[in-house]
Amino acid sequence: MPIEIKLPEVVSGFESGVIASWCVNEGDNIKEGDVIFEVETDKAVIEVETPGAGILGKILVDSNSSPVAVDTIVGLILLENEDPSVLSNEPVITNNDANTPVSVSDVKPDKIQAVPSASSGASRIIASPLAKVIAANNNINLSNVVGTGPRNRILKADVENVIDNKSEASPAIITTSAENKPDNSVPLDEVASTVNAENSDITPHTAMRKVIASRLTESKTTIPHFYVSIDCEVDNLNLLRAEFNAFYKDHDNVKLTVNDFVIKAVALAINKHPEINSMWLNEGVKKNKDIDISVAVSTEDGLMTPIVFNADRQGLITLSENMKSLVSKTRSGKLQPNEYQGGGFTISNLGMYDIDSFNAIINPPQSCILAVGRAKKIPVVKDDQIVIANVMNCTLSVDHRVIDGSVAAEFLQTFKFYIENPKHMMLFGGE
Amino acid sequence: MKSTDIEYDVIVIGGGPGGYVSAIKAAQNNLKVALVEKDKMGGICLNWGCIPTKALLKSGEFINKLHKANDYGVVVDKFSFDLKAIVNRSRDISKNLNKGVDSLMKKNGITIFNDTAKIISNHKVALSNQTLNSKNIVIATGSKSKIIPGLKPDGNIVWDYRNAMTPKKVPENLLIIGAGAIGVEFACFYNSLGSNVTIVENQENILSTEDEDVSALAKKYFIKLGISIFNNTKVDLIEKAKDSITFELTSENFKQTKVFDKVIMAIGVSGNFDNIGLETLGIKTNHGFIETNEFMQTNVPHIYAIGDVAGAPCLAHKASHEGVICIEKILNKNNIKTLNNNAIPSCIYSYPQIASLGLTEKAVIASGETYTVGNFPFNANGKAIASNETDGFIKTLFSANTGELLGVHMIGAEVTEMIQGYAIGKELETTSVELEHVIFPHPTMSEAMHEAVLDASDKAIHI
Repeated sequence: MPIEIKLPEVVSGFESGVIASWCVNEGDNIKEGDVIFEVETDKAVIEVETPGAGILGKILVDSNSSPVAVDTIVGLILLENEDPSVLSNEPVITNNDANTPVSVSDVKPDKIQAVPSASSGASRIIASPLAKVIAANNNINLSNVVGTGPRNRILKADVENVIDNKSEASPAIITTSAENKPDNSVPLDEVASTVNAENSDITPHTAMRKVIASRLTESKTTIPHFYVSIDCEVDNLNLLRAEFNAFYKDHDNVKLTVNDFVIKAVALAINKHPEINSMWLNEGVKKNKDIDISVAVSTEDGLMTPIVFNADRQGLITLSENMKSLVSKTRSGKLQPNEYQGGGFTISNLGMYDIDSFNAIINPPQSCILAVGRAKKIPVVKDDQIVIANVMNCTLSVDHRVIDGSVAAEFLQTFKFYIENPKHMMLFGGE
Repeated sequence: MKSTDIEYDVIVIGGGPGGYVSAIKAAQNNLKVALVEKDKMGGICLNWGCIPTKALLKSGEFINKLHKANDYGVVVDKFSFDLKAIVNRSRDISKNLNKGVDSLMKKNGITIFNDTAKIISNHKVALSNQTLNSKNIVIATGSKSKIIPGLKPDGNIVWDYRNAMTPKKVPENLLIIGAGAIGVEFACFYNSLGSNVTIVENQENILSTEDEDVSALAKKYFIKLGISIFNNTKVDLIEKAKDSITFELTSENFKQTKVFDKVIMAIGVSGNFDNIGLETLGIKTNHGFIETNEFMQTNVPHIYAIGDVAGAPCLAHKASHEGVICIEKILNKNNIKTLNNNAIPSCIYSYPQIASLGLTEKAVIASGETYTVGNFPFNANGKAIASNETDGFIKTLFSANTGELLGVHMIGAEVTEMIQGYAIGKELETTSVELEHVIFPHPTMSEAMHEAVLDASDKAIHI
């Protein structure tokens, strides 16, 4: 029997994904440990190693076809001396299947059983009537629900699963309001109004877009945000940065950015105000032990937040190198889940786009996000004199359930101190 | 090659509707399958249960219809029946189907051993003269009737189900102990043959697993047929003579001594697993049935148990379904649909018939769910009136929050053929809204199914 290549659970909780690309062709020799394909999860592209050595006999699920469930057999590896004829009966899912509506009569029943291909993004959401009602009653968007029924039909149990998971993360979102009484006509219609496949102006949501949408909606609608804003002069920082970069100009990898200093300053300020690094959970407030800073990085598909772990203990050069590597991995889609899952605080910097200041949405379950604007020259009053200074505005969005205004303000003061007196940063960290 | 040298993928022990279906399912998936059956293929269901009793009950129903011929304008001055022919017809039907299962086994290349089996390890099954090797073992040995101590079936006065299905003469005074599905079916059959039938049930209601409304109405109809029913009543054997047996019936309000010439015990079943090796392997049992998980796996790896032996409800269709689930697990399939006990229809072929699915109203109340009830009697249904089959009703229970079909309870002519409509709806997770929109053909008794749905939201038309 050929070795079955099954779609593995690449990340815990991963249920289905798209094969982004095959790294080997049919007929290629495969050794133990070879990477054979890449799978796209909602946040990253992850490499998958072969389950065994042999010859890639047949690819059963083409790259970029519709998502397939974990444990689906996506390919077969022939053992040495195995007759290729054993492969001939296997049904193949091509990427045409994802885009071309298949008329019902064309679908062979065995094909449906062999590979439960998920409903492709653009087509209608397939859900049982009961699942639709329960979703509507609980404000669940069915496009975020993975169906486990035949042809990935969304069932009652699937919606209930989402409700159960949500209630663990944040109970607020599922409280049913009076207007959600089971007057089926209204919510049902809303739920049923899905993307019209014939309208070519609509781009179907990617898995990543859906995650961003649901997390940020949850954040903005359930977390009571408040905002505190502070101006920081960065002239000292610029001088020190120029000095460092000039000194290390012959070292390929050393080029400190303003953002590297911001990360470091945030980490050290958190060290002084650990309440900032905490999370609202059902049972109580969780204080994070490590200072892990998520940094927003834009990609073509959407926002990602790779993490600088233990940022308070990293020297600026290490921190800067780590950040560069994270950015390049993020942009090439190679970021591994353990590199973006977690984090206790997020920094979003739009300074490079000439944004002066902005308010960001908290990245749950974190409690704070710092929105960093550009540094620009403005007149400031010093010793009753108007002088020119480089000033950078930073706005902190805060979850008021966890943190009160004074704590947030004190944290920003400390942060400002480090940004304006960057030499002090060398007094801490690395221990 | 000796059979001892072969390693099977699956050995199924028991050839009933659980066992033979799982064997076929395994063979269809190119597994090497052997099936061990000590008696006939088809198990109790086909040989001594579902099928032959349905044949007998059809004859009884015919007799009852003839009594009512006048109601239809048909004059039948005189008629009689031939008990031997009724019994032979029933046996022939079983034999016929039995051959059908044999040929299905042959067609699917399943090796049959007509032998007893004892599991000696999780990969070995001992037969009388040889040992078979297998990667997996499926126990599908069914159930056996529970017996009241001191009342061992003797084939003469105390009947087991086989005796009850092959009577030589019609009993004059028949006692049936136990008013579950089997008890009431035998009661109806012998009542149609002219026996004085008495049912004794120690629980509060007859058909205790059914909805109370159904159970209460069924009791009324049975009494109207001439069946004596004693619920909440205990029976004690007083004396067993050569041609008669005397019992004392005791309830809160009375004590009565009654003499019968035959007695049938129908007090339930328990798992049939004596001497198949459970103890040696430490396979866990619970209240007389083998314990399994949702994939029918026992606590011992590679050993599965399905059907009656794996627990209630003891129904052939449940056994067959579990037979498929266990083979899918053996094949390591994804997304195996496990059994939802609330989606298993239950059918009783009494006069009138009873069918149900899901929760009783009592169970819904206990679950705390807010619900709506629909009710529609057959005497408001055109086809039922035209057919002179106005007995009974359909009762539906829906979740008030979601419209989910929680339960349905039917009593009336041919309701056993109608319940699948609701079963399909339930499996597809249909809510009351969609069921209201279904167009039922007119004139049919199934229109009452529609009206019972409409009634749950006070929209019934014909009542």
